[in-house]
Amino acid sequence: MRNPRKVVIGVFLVAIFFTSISVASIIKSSQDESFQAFTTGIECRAQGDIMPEPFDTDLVAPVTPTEGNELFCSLPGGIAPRPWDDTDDDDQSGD
Amino acid sequence: MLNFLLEYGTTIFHILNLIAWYLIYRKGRLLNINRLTVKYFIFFFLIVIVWNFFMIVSNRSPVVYIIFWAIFSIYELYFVLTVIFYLAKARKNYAELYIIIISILAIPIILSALLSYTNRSYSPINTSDFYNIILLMIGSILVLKSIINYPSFMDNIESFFIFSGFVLYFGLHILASNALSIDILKNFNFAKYATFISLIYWFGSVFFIWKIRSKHSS
Repeated sequence: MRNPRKVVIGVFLVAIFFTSISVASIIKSSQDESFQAFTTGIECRAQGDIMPEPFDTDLVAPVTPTEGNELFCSLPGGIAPRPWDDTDDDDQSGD
Repeated sequence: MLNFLLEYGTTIFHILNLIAWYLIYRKGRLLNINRLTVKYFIFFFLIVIVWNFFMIVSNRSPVVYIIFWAIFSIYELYFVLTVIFYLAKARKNYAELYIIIISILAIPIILSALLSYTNRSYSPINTSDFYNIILLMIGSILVLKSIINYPSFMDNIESFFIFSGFVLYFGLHILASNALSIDILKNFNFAKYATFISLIYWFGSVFFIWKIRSKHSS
């Protein structure tokens, strides 16, 4: 970083820009009263290790592993294989 | 056991990273900006560990989460901004502007924390966190670029690993947890895995640093 003045002014402008769009988006998102805003508002997606409890316990949005999820492959790979159930169906239909 | 690891794996890894990086800070001969970066990095882990402790004690209280999220987010911005100012040699000459910039950046964090609390919705902090992460990602890339161009790269090897880890951390968090990512990835657990991958990188880099340092000193 050769020119301190340029760096400081650049950082200042970026900070102003991001603060403006961030504040505008925060106010917009908090005023949105649609059902989608309600459901996404329940789910916390910010940083952190331990997920907080939802504010409203009637509708729990975060997806937690269930027995059904075992059917999905979550291992590395570009294209996910189909769930086992579908394969069984294909085998049966092939017969 | 597996459930415990899935739930508290990142918490345990934060403690392991804190110990490993504290040993680097104590045993290594760190100078100037490198020493400062490692010191701030240790505090970064310390805040998360205290945050996790209070989350467990308070039984995942949303209020505790929001308070610590705000502290942690402001600290992240303070960390990256301070390093940028030090690298630009502008910390002393532009002290007032430095404080003004931190104050400006803290506005959306405090506002979103208050709105989340009053509206009883995570939407404001999700939005604020998304913009913070983009900003921190840009800042980390800028720091990394400066460290690579520094005349004595070997003197700042710890800072290089810390900020390359931050680029990975913020990059994965953008993908894992926020608005621009594909819908299926918008989930707290994916963001947790993003943190876990970065923690593995930081923990592994301790061994690389130790190896590189010992090879250079002999």
